[in-house]
Amino acid sequence: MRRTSITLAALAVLWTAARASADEGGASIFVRADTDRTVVISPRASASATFDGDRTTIRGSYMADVWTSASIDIRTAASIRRPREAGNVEPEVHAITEQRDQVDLSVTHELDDVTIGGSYYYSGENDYWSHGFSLRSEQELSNNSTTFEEALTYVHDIVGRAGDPTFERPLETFGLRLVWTQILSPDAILQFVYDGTYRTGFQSSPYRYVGLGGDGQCGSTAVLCVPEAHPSVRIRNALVARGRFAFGANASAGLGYRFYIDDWGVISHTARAQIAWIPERGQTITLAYRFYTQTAAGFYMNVYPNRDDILNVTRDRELSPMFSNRLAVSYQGRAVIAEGIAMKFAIAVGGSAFVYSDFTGLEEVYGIDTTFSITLEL
Amino acid sequence: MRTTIAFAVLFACAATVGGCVTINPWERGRLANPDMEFGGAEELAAAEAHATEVREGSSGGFDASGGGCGCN
Repeated sequence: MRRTSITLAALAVLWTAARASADEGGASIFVRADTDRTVVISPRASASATFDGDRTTIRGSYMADVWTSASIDIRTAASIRRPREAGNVEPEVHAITEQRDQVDLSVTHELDDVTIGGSYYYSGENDYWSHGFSLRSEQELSNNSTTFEEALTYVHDIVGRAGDPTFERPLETFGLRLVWTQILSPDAILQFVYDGTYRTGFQSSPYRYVGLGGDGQCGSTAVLCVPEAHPSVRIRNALVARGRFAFGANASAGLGYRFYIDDWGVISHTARAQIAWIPERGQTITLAYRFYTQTAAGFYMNVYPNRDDILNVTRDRELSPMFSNRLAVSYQGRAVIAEGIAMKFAIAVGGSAFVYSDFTGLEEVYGIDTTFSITLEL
Repeated sequence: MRTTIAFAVLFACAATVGGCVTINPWERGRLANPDMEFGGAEELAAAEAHATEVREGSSGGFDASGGGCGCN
């Protein structure tokens, strides 16, 4: 029933867009596979339409996230339900398949040098539901060479647990985003972003268990297995500085850096570099590299001792010390196929390597992904 | 919370010194090209950004990446 409603909402968005003046509609598909036995397939459809002399824009999109996995999380959970038998190297694990549906709607309206807007998204799966709202404002100053943007967000999540209809935990997120964009020259633009969120509620995984003593994995040599327990409040801060620089009419480069810190003790650094080449008008080839490194959360331990005074325990690899590298290449093209109709097409291929330096049971994950999209401009 | 306030103050101070550069509209032709956009093509970035973010302990700053538990 819920899935039918989402599909109808998505169709309504696309139909509304189709009736407006200047429109765009497109579809894309993203496929990702990694060595942690996870495959993700994400089809997406989007549309936008402008009204009121191009001052008002409505955008809508629908995305599904279909994933099949027998990852370390699932293998660990499976070992709790069915302990290893003598002689078995690893318990038999059946991959699970689930689907997440997401609908995004947004509207913006231009008032001379000020643009205001709002957005809403719904994301739903069989054990997790999320509603997100945001309000934003953008002001252009100094003959439009300087732009300030402020956004407030509120997200209400419900965390469930498959097979347990009585399990339902709320999670609230309040966010503030500030963006300052400055044109430095006819060939250079700079941007600073601050993103802060305050999260309160259930932030553990209802499926993960932590082994106390032994090697830290339940079903192995752990003395005791307890449910994962994260703190209920988390304050996260991210500060980004990035710039784009054009080199003549056919080439440009981008550099970006993000510093992140939260009150769980995670500190991370992210660096991004990108070069773009325009071989012909309407075509762009891009090569992008991303490096990421983070410290562990303060309460993270690879192996927890079997003691009563430990309040927070986790088996979340995202809270362990780790780093990752990503390299991606993409091609985007645009062609006029009829009077007043243009088609944009794009393909991207990327590869990622995640390295976990202190996480029992998982040291490295290698992933490859590809995206293909096609968009019609009317 | 103190970190949040420090970031907000730092951002506000930086923003007040901005605006000293003015580039005329007719000089911005190159900046209007799609390759100069910070976020890149949304249709290419949306799903990949979500898939990357749910595998790391950090979030935010660059571009929004949707909702969900990130269990994949």
